[in-house]
Amino acid sequence: MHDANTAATAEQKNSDSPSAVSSTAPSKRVILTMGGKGGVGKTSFMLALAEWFQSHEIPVTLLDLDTENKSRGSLKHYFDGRVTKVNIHTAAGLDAFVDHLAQGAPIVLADMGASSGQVTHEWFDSMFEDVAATGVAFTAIGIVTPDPASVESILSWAARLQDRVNYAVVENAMAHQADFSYWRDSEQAKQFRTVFQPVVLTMEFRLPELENPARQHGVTLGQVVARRLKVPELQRASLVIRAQSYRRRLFEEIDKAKELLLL
Amino acid sequence: MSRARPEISSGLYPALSGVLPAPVRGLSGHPLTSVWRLLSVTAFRRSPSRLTLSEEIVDAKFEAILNSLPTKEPRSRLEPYSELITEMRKRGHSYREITQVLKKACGLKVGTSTVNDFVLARSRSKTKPSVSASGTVGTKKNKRALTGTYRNTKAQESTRKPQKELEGTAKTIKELKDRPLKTRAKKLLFEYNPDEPLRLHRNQRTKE
Repeated sequence: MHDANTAATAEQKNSDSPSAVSSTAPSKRVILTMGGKGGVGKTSFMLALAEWFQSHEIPVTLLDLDTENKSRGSLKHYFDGRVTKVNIHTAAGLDAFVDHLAQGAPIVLADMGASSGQVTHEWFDSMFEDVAATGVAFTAIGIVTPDPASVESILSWAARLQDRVNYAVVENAMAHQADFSYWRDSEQAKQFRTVFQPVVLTMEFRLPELENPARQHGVTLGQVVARRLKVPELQRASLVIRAQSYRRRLFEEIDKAKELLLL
Repeated sequence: MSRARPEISSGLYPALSGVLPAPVRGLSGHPLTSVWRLLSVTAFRRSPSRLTLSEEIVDAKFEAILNSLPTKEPRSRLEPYSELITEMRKRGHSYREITQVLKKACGLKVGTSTVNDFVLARSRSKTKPSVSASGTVGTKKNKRALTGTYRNTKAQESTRKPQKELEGTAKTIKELKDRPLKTRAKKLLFEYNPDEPLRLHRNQRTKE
């Protein structure tokens, strides 16, 4: 069993098929969450990422592929009117990526739902080579929490996606004192980091007084900061400043991965 | 100029051409009634190796009948002038003009549409590749066997491709055969067994 987890060296890369690491800049990019484990904060990070692009005035297409996620808490809940809901459980799978890249902005933000692994992996196996040949690059964002299941989830995805995507991993502190031992210290996770060299970002723990009403009302940190809301519990001065601080630090973290997020 | 006779095998009875016995095939151009008469007697006969004496006599009788039949005359009055008509068409003369020339120079009075039908019928019979009962395009050899005539077909023309072209095709085929199959099995950079728990090595913990 031990050798099943062995990681090969970078020299073993097969040059026959394209990989995510290309010498030329891509003309289009799909940024997708690795959606194996539910409730780890995929949508929260994608919201922040969408706001980051918005703050830089870079147009993106938002796709909500989380068909099983209820309306409240989904990407569509926050950006209604700007988000396209896509059902990936069809024969076409993730072909929506290609169509939206052809019609709209050159960057697609795709919030994958939990248990979307099988569909995504099959789509990559059948479509990646030809889609990548058109200049499309992929960035997979994994969210890890203290829960080892979140780590196992991104390792499973990486074992299927291999080097066809760039990796960014977000450490989402879901508690005040978050322990990321399984992500930082497990043998398998270390192998993953050695092979794929993911950019690691930190998403700090947010106060429930801010996080819960924001989820409930479908508002982003940016909207809280802008004070344009009619939600009394989010108008408290301390929460507004908190939101501003969270947002600023998260944007600084996202800046670390800008090479994987831009063209 | 020999006249093109109606074909039993490729015309009226394409499905039967493979099973028609030799005497029946020899009757091409003759009235249907005589063909049918022969067909009813001979079509489903046993193979020659198993013929009885009486059947051999019948066979010889058919042979004699065939030999006694007079050669059929061409049906179209235009047949003797086919070369003249073809040449005039090549030179761009209209059917009306051809009709007038035939009338004045040859004393043959025919309608414009007759000449038109004649030319079309001839061009069709020249360009249309015949298909045997088995669905394959007739070769020079089997075409002669079936109809007693030989006409150029596109398939036959393709067999006369220049030698260089054939060599080029052979080279392409050889290269295609020699080309190794593309293997889809890519060596994995990272493997993970989801059935195995994550292994912690706390003593090697590093601050990242």
